[in-house]
Amino acid sequence: MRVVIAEDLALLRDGIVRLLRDNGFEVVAAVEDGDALVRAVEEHRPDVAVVDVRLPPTFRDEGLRAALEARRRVPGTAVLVVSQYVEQTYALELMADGRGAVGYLLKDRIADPADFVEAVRRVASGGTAMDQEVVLQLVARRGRGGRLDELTAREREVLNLMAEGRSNAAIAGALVVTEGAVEKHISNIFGKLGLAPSDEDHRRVLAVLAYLRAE
Amino acid sequence: MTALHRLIAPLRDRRTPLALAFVLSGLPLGIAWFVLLVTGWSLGLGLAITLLGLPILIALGAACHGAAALERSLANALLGTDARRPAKRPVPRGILARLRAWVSDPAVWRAQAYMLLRFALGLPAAVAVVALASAGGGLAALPTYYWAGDADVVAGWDIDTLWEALLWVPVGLAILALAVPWLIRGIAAAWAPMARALLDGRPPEGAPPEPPPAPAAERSRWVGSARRGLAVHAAVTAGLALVLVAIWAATTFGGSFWPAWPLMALALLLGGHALVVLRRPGVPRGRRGLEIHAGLAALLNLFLIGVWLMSTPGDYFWPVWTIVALGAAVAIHAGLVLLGATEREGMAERIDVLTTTRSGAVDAQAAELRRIERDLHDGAQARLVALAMDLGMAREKLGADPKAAAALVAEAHEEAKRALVELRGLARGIHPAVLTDRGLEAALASLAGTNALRVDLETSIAERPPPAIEAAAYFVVAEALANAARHSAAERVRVRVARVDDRLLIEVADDGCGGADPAGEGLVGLRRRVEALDGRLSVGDGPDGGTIVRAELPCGS
Repeated sequence: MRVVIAEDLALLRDGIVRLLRDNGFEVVAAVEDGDALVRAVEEHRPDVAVVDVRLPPTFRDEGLRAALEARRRVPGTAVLVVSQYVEQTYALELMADGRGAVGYLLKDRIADPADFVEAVRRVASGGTAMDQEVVLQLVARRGRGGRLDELTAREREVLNLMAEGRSNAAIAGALVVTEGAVEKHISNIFGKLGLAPSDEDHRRVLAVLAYLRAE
Repeated sequence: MTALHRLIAPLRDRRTPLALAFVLSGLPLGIAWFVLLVTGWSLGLGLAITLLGLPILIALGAACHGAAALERSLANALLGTDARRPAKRPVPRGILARLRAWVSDPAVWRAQAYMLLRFALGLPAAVAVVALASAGGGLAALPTYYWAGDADVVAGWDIDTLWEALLWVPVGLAILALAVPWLIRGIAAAWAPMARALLDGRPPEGAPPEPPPAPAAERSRWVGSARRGLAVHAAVTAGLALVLVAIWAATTFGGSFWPAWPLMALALLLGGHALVVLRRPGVPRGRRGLEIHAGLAALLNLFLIGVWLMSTPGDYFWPVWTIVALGAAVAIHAGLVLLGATEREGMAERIDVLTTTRSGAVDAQAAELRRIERDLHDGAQARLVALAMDLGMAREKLGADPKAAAALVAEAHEEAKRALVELRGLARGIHPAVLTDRGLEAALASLAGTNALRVDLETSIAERPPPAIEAAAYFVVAEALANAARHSAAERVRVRVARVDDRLLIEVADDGCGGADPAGEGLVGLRRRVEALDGRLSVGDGPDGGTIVRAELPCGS
């Protein structure tokens, strides 16, 4: 898989490059700012771009804006945005087009290389990777007293893991239950929230995120 | 040769003309100082019972300072002394205090002594030099007199021949060349140490530096002595009145009451004195001046009305003119003072507020830095220490006990991630990045999303306030939410933030038990932060029992 990396801190950039190369990715460009990211994506058409939110020259949300711009110019570009902190606002902006192939993770997650690499692969293949903190924020934003209140504690756990973008198998592994049990929980969740059922993991995730995103 | 050289040394000395100039300056200056001192003291003391004498005495003190300065530069320039001006003493406020200040100033007394010496010794010395020089000149020029046909008498000796006249010429020249310069040198030599002693203002060698004055105590002492002075004045006036009435009773009893005249004058003086001395505490200076002005005008008018009553009662009421004139002056003064006062009071109040809020802001900032330091020390730093320890031990065990090493590495990994979480929380507590990037609404939404309580957020912020205001507003909400979660047992919190014109209004209301402590550390720090931005913060119980925190911040440009 071909990757473009945008990270201004050399220490982290080199670390990510090494990590991804070790795991069989081809790093086609490692750039330091937003404009260079957009150019690199246009030039290399990578399978996924890993982008830091805070980039020069403003050191604000330069990276996020550049990632969205790259996706606009090269539709379908998978983007994984990483940051020292996560904000639901940014998550909502990333998910706004509802097409998936986006990820938004705390940089902390890079400290667990296997999980991180798995997330990059998932995003590159059109899936979603939302940080668990973002999901918590989104669920909280949806507010209590709504339909989410009808979910059981276990269903809630499943919902959160789904929103993070994990597959049924991964959810089953995380909760130490069978995949069949996970399927059952998911169908209950979709019923309670009034979502149209779907067989494919990606679509289910998008449906859940769309539900959380809705006002 | 050397003896002759020594003899005429003063003549050849370049300092002699300077010294001559100095000695001669004693003629006008000695007289001037004498006149000044005699007039100043007699006028000042003579009128001291009235208030007019006091300013005269103060002016005399200032004049003495001026005279000393002039004499000091003269002596330094002409006699080669190195007298320095005394250190400047602070000029206190108020007539009596100034008078006391100069009376207690030794430099003024030394200056007066010098001025008197200039008259008593300097003037005769100058006269002596002039007389000796004229005598020498006269003798040296004696032949011209003779030629002119005038005879002269020197020491009882009739000069009536040219030879006799010529005989005196060397004597005259000797006086001019030797006696006059030696006299001048002698006077200068005697005078220089005197000038140095009386005019030099340097503290004695090795004297400790003067301590700074203690204004408050000083002042109250002067006020006390001023009141004593007034009491003495009143007693003297009363005594005089008694004496006058007694004289009147003993001599012209039943006739016209003439003591009324001096009594009126004395009463006028006493009233004026009382006006100046008696003061209400806390009256600003401008207002106080107006009070004295009005009081003196009233006293003077009363006095004139008294005169009118005593002299031509029932006739043309001439005091009307002074009443109108003084009244107008007081009215103009009052207008100026009151107008200026409102402006000044406004500024003084503003300065008070700024002083308080500035120190509050500084305190709050310092407290915040201490908190951050403590959090770093107890949190992330400690975790990094543990992490480094785990990694160090793992490295040692790597060969011998790979299993234990792996466990240590895993532990270090977890520790590192926890340190990351703590650092992130700390950074957010200093300043959340989303606030800078996306503004208050996004930051508050994120805050509401991560809060343990159910937060209903209503925001209406059309235009972004300045960064400092946004940050203050954010932390008001953050602290209020944290307090609600910690202390109130609340379940729901309603947060409303709206920008109305140039103000940002914030309200955080919970449904908990209320009774928040406005003096709590967090709220006090928050209030200081808000007040430093000219905002207001209130904490109280809502109508339904919960706590309501309200803040108002100006976003003005």
